[in-house]
Amino acid sequence: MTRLADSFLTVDLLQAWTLLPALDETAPLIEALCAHGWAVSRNFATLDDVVEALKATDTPPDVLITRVRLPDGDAFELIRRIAPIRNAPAVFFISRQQRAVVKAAQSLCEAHGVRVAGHVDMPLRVEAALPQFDAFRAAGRLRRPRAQRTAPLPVADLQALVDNGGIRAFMQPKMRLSSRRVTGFEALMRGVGPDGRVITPAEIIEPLGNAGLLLPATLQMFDQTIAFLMDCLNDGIAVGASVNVPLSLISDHQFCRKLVESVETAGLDPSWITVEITEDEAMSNPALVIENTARIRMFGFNLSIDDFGTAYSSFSQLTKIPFSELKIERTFISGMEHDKSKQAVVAACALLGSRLGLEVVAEGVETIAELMAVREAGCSDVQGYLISRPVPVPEAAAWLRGLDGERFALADEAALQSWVSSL
Amino acid sequence: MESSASAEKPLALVVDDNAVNRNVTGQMLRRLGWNSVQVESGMLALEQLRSRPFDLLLLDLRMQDMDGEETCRRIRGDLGLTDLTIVAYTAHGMEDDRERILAAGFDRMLIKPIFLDDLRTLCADVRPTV
Repeated sequence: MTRLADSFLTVDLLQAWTLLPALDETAPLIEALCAHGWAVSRNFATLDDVVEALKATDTPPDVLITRVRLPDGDAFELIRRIAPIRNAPAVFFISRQQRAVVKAAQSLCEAHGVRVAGHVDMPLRVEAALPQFDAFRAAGRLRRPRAQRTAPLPVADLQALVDNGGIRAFMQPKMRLSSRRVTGFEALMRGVGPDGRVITPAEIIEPLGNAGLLLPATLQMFDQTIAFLMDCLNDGIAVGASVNVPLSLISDHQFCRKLVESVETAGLDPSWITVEITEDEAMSNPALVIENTARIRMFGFNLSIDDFGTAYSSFSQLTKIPFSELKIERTFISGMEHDKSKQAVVAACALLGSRLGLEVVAEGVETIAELMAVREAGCSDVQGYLISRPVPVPEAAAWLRGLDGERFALADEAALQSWVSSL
Repeated sequence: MESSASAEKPLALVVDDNAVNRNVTGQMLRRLGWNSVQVESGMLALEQLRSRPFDLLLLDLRMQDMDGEETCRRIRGDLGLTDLTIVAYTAHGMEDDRERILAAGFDRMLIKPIFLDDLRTLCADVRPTV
């Protein structure tokens, strides 16, 4: 957990610093923030000063409010320099710049892993800025903490995880927008160490691949997913599940044979399982991609293209490969309600998918506003922290049975009502 | 054969050689206020259809003994059940075969796996009052 998230839990007052050379223009905003539960504690006149202060402090602010053009540089340089600082604040931009420049600053934040709290144009309108600060505060509880860079596990530890049942499928539900019904789950790989610590994908997936252990680990993911599905289906709950498989594994005959054996032994119709092809170096070989994806379909599994819109997940693949589902990368979804370009991309993906007869899943939906935006764009299904984070199998099973007819309910009743009435 | 019957509810016949699918479809139909009979082959389906009237037939296209298209042709031809709603359910990606499948006498197609929403829509079309 970051210090930011902790501060939400313990104290309600959020801290902001400002980098505003001409304070008088922005005074009404500062006053309004102070009246809205923010402590605007320090102001700086130069980029150098604020960077030094951030490096030195033990109690960095939650948000840094800054102009885009600065006396000794600009916001682009600021972002680059604060990114490596531990617990770097989120950035709120006040700008006279054209929208494209502000957007570039926001994209740069994303690329550096710096959060964006919002932006407002000059001349400053308090009523345009304040709701963004409120939304930032509200979203704080939902946002994932930034992935921590940790050292990969040693091979012996990885082997022990695989041998001792330490590879666990965490289930994240997927919801159909037209009915609010849960139609499936994505099984995400986690490790659970002997001490019970949950080991993140970043720590294990690539190292497992390097250690040649991805095959047994992925088969264990399938076995756990199959057991979960059988449990649901036998109770009359029709849900499917997807498992991520690197393409290189599908070209392994032993892997495919074991996969088919697993569903046959369980007596599960393979169409309940979707194989999500994840990118690896093999994706750059079109012939290999077609051979292996066709094989998966031949066995009766469904097939999903993950992270659509990035790198190898291209248009040309869609015409050659028998996909049944298209998943839109989370970076296109994040904050799309404020971003016309993202809206256009998501709407185009959704149209393309639906014309091809595919389900179109928006990944990484974290707020009601994003949910409304992806629905407006024409996506058929959503997945993300707004619905649920990935949870262990027993928790997912209990959660599903706790829903009213597998229909998802939001904790925020007012938001749910406005959504339902808009359906 | 598994069945659940009580008076006056509409009755569906589910034909699928996968036991898990038969079971979950049967349970979903019950939630939607339907009775159902589930059998595992085309031959058993014909036997059922000879013995009593059904409101809906759900037929898996890929079965061991007699494929779904052949079963459907016999139901329309040999049994003369021209008014029965017959739904094919198929794997994803068979959309290109839609014309051929419908020509075998099916009224519509569903893509596997079948979710509650799919069945709800279908059942409402067949029997709007339930």
